[in-house]
Amino acid sequence: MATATQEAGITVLSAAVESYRSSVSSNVSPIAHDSAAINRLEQALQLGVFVHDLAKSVVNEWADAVRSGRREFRPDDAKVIRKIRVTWLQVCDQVLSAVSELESNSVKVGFAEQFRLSMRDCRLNDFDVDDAIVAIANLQQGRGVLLNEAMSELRDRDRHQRN
Amino acid sequence: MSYAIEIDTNVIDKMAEFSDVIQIGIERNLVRLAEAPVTLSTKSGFPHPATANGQRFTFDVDELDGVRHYFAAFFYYGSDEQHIRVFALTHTRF
Repeated sequence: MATATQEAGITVLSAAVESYRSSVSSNVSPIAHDSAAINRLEQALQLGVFVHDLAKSVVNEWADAVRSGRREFRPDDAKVIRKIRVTWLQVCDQVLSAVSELESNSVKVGFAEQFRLSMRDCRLNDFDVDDAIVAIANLQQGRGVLLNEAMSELRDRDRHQRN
Repeated sequence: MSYAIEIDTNVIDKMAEFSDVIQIGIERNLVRLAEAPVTLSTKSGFPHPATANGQRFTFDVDELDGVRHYFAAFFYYGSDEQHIRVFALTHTRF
């Protein structure tokens, strides 16, 4: 039951991101500066924040289900979520470029700050799933590096590069 | 209680992409995390079984030119309850 709910959540999220992409491509123009265009852009920003919140909710439900043992951890699930996240970010880049264009012309765009915060949160959650799994295995096998040793290694690398 | 911070080599490689100023800023923040991981982090959305208690710690570091860099360190507590193990470091500039 929990699994079916989460599959549905991911499907809904995927559809929401696709719908968002389609809405942005038909409603957001980086060159239109009239008030109707700005309204459409602000709606796109609000919708983008909504999709991000939906994504967080779906990911948290999935993570809670795995942690509680109601669902098995499968790397493919994490990869599907990452793919959706990357798609959302690509659409957001397009929206943000329209926002930046307006802001560079001193036009104030509503919801831009919330939108940027959502994008930041999403980017900070974005890492390669396979790399993370390898890293966790390394750490589990005692191949981690203590922070002070890591800093020494970084200074050594820096010295080598300078010489 | 302060934890020892242990990081994966991919995190060292990621840190190497940045200037000395940013590297030192990352180090300082990880030391800060070691002192108070419970209050400084939130549950991560990556529930790998080995990281059942996996957490995300976000922080920012300013470059000398004033540009702010945002980071998130993903970690879990070692079973010895003395180590924090960082398996991923992500970054964005806005």
